[in-house]
Amino acid sequence: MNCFKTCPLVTGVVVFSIIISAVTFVAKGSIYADYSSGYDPAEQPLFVVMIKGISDGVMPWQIFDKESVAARNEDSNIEDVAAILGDVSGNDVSGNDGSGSEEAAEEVQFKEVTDDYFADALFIGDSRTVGLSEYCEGLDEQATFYAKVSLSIHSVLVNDFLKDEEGKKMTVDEALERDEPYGKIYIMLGLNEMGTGTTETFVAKYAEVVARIRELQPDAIIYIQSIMHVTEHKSSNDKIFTNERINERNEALSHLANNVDIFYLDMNEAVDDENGNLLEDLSTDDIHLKASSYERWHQYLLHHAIVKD
Amino acid sequence: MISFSNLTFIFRFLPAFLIVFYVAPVKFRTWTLLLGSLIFYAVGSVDSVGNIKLFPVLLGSVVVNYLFARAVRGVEGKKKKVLLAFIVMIDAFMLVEFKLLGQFVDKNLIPIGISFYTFKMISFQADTYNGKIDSKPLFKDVAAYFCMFPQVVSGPIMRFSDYSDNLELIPGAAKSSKEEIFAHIEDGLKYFVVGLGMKVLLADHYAMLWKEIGTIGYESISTPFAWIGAVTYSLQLFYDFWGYSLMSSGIAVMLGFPFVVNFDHPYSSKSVSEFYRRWHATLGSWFRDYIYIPMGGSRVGRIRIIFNLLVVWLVTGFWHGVTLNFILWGLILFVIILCERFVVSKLPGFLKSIVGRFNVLILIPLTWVIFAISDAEMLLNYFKRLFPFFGAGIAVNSNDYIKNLGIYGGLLAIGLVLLVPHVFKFFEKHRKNPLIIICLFALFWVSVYSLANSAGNPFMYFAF
Repeated sequence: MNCFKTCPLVTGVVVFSIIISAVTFVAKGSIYADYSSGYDPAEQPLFVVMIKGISDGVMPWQIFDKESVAARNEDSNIEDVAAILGDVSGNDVSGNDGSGSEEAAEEVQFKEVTDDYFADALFIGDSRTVGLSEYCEGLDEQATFYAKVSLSIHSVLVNDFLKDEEGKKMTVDEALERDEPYGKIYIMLGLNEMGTGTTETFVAKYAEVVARIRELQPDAIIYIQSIMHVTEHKSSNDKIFTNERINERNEALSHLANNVDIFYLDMNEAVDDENGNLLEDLSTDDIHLKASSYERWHQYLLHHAIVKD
Repeated sequence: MISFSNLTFIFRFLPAFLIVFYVAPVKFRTWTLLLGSLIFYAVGSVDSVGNIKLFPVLLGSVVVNYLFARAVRGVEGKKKKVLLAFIVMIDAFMLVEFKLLGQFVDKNLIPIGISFYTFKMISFQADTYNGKIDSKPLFKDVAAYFCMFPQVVSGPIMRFSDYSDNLELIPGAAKSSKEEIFAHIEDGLKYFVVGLGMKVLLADHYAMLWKEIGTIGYESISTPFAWIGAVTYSLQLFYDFWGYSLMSSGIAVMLGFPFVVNFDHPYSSKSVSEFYRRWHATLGSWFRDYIYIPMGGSRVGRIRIIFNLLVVWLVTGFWHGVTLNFILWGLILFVIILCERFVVSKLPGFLKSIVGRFNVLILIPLTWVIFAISDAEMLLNYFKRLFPFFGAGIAVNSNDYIKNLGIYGGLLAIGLVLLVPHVFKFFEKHRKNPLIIICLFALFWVSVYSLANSAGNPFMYFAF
């Protein structure tokens, strides 16, 4: 029986499955090492490891390319958590938190402002900030938004989701370098990375990002906004997205503020119920504010502004 | 792995099962099918909701139904009728009870697939009573028919006569040659791949857009976006279920069963009643054969016809879900079908077809919105945005639809093009053509690629 003649599709699928499984088996220790760590053979076919790599741009033929294999290995060394931590402890941003920020926090004088305060403001964030730009006209008319669904503290500076005048892709890092100086930069990030790393690695990366933004925009007031809570329903039915874990990370974030030119804004005050969960009425999916609820966030920002004399 | 669009199912369970099924001697094949189906069901219940405790519900109802069918076959006259009525009541009561429990007590109390396997059981009892099942079926056949894994979760509600047409299961029947077996598998796989593509590449992405609309809040969407939403949800439902049905029928074909048509290009229908003969056809014909016709069907007076239709549509609504929106959905379809029957049918030809098309292409998507939203206030909000005569919404971004058409416009266009029957018919007719086979091969791997990237990573689809 000629398999290719009787059942070409079945034969093709079977042969191809075997080939990609074999390739994955060979490459899982080298170019796909990063992807095979979380792989559970009971849950998924082996080639899923390779597909996840391919979607990140790691092509199987790179295994023949000695340099990229070597680069890959180097890469994973650089991304070593300990290295990041060591790096940041000498960094001035996190260096500030030891100096009695509790006391300083009491001294912060927030003022009430009007929408024109945001004329020289930049908002950086994930889908929640995207929502703010889309459903808060007052803000959107005034401020600039560098926000994207699924943005995380790890991708915020390197993801080239912005476009310059000529339509060329650019990163937030590049944009901040060429933009006119901003007066205020608001950041809300942290939900997408809840499932990865620890509070320490998250805050270390956050500190690094803040430091880089400070370097690019030396005169801007940087507002670190708390990671917005999820509803009680989500929090109690999920292992990753719990308000307990969000609070832990927020607490750590609050210490990044120096209350001189970096401030921490606990915007959850504007949307929480009495138990510290996102009010159920404000959200239909337990994670995002619905369109009509963004006004609360807006009002909170209007009432929590730093005005330099 | 209770779903077919799951890599463990596609790359492990299905190939392993096919090998065992065909390598086993013919006399063991039915047992293989039964055992494989029970494993599929048990493993699936464990990892989908963890309600393996409800596994005995399936086993128990299989045994009870088999015993009753034997009893019905053994007696005559009035006693036979009483027995039939009794077992049908048991099946129906079991379905209603679990649906109510699932709705009002705990959603994990609904046994997977109960809506489908109880309907199979009732049809089996009625067919036994009517003498449509000739030879005395063996327990293994009845059990395998009720439980067979291609159908146990969501149908199609195949009849027993289609089951017993499968010569691969009958010892002594002309046995297929190796070539014929591989031809079955090849043909089944083609339908499976098309269904998989519909489900993974179309329906799952439409679901993201529909969810996005929910996140914004229905009171805050622009009117164009509300209409795009109605189309999106309609397409999602269609490709999810048609895709599932093609996968199911494809697997059944691999096992030697006849191809069961569950969706026959419903959106090309010229009236709503035609639409429902072609949409989820095995359910529609079930209602026709086991409710509508036994009640007298259309060969009764006008009032009685109206009553019969009302019963059918109320039960249809309830079968889909216990909340009020499903009852409302059924009632509205009842009204539309009544109008078609008694008013539209008297219109002149061209007007009749215009009204009919309007009903199918505009009213049906609106009825799906009712089907989708179980909360009365939210449903009302949605309709206020569809028909913005009652004031503006809250915090509406009037450009919302432009952004989303930019993201989903292409996929929606593909879904709309596939509504035209010729596209699918072209595939069916030329499915042995090497070019089509290459396309199917590509479609399969693109679907797998998409599945692999979302697998174990719930944020692939719903990143924040």
